[in-house]
Amino acid sequence: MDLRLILRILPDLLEGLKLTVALAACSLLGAAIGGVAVMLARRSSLTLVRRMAIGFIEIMRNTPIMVQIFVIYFGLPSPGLYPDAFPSAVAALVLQNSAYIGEIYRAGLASVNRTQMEAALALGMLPRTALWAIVVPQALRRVMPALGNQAVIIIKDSSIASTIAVAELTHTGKLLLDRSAAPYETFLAVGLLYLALSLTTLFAMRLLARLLPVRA
Amino acid sequence: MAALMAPHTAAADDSRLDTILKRDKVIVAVSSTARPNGFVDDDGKLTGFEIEFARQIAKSILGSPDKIEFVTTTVDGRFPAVLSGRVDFGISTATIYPDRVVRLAFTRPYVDSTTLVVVRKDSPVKDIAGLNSPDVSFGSTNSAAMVDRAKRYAPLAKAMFFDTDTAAFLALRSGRVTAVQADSAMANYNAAQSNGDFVVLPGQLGNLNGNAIFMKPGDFTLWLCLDTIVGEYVSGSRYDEYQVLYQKWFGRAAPAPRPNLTH
Repeated sequence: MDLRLILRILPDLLEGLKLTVALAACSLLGAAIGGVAVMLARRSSLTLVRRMAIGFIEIMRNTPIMVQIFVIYFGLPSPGLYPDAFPSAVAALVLQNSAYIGEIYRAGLASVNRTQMEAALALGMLPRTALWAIVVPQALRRVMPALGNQAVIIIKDSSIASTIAVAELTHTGKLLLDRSAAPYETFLAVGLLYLALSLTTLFAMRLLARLLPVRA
Repeated sequence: MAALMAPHTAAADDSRLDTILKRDKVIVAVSSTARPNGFVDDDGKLTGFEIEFARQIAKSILGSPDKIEFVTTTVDGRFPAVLSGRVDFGISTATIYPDRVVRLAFTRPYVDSTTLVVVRKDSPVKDIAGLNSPDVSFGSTNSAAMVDRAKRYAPLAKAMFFDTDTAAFLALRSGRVTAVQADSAMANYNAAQSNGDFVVLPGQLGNLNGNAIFMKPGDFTLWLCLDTIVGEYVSGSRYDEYQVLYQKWFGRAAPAPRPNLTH
C-alpha cells in the first residue's frame, strides 16, 4: 500500500468530490421536490392522474438508472435536445429518486394515525390547516431516516454519471487508476471519500430530524 | 554467487507460468468493446485481433489456441484484473506508458499504435489544428494517454472522457461531441463502418505508441516467456502468421520485422 501515492492523488480526487457533492445536492433537492409532486399525484382523487403516477413510479423503479441516463443523454439529441452531461445526470437521478421519495412521503402520511386529523377537525381546524399543522410535521419526522437512506443512495448512484463523461469522484478515480495502475490505493481513497460524504449526509439528516419541532 | 542467485531461483519456482502449465489453460483479460481488437461479433462470439493473438500465445505455451479462458473487462478493470491475480495477463489495447510501468510489467509491443481523430463528415473541423477551439467538444475514453493528448493538442476544446470507446463514438454519432480521438485501428474501423458518416482527419495526434501485453510485475519467468513469444510473432519465426492476422483485422500489411525492437 503506497500511502504517498494516496496523498499525491488526493487533490485530484477532491476536485472530483466537489462535483459529486454538487451532483448529489442538486439531485436530492430536485427529488425532494419532485417526490412531493409524485406523492400528490399518487393520492389524487382523479383516476387518470393516479394511474399516471403509478405508471411513472413503476417505470422509474424498475429500470436501471444507467438506461435512464443514456436515454436522456444520448436519446434526447434525436428530437434536437442537447442537455449537457451534468444536467442530464441530475435529471436521471431526480426522476428515479422522485419515484422513491414520493412513495416515502406517501407512506409517512399514511403512518400518521387518522385520529390525529379527526381530533384537529373536531377542534375546528380547516382540513388544509390540520394537514399542514398536525399531520405533515409528524409524517416528516417519521420519513427522515428513509430520506437519509435515499440521500446516501443518490450519492452512490451519482457515480453512474461517469459513464457520460461527468468528471465526478468515480470518473476521476478511474482516470487516476488508468494512469498509475494502482487500483488498491486509488479506490481505497475513493471509497473513503464516499464513506465520509455519506456519513456526513446521514449525520446532517439526523440533525435536521432533531430540529423538527414535532416528536413522531 | 549462490546468495545472488537464490532470489531468482525462488522467483522461477513461484512463476505463474508453472500454474498455467499445470492448469493447462491461460486466463487472459481482454476487451469486448474495442473493435477491431476485442469485440463481440454478430454471432455473439468474442473475436478481434487481440483475441486471436491471445489464442496464438495459448498455442505457443500449451499447444492449442483453444486452451484459453477470456475474462472481459472495461478499460478501468483491466489492470486490477492482472494485479489481483484473477488473470494470468492482459491484452487489451494497453499502451506502454511511463506512469504505468511502476506497477505493471509490459512485454515489447505486439502492435504499433497511433492515435487518429474521427469527425462527422459535415464537421467544420477539417484538420487536427482545428481541434483547438472553444467551439469543439473533444471526446475519447477516460484513459491517461487520451486525457494528456486532449490537454496537449486541444487545450481550448471542451474535453469529454467516456467509459468506453463505444460510448465516445455514440457521442459523436448523436452530435454530443465534435470529434473523437481513438486508437488508429479503432478509429479506422469506426469510420469504415459508419456508411460514410464519419471521416478520419489527416495526420496523427501525438506520437507513435506501443500496445503491449501487461502482467503483474515480479514474475520474470512468465514475462520472459510472453515477451519472447511476442518477439517471435512481430519480428521472428512466426512473423508470417502475424502478417496474416494483421492483414485480416487491420486491412493492411503488417510493419516490417524489427529484430532489435525492444521497449
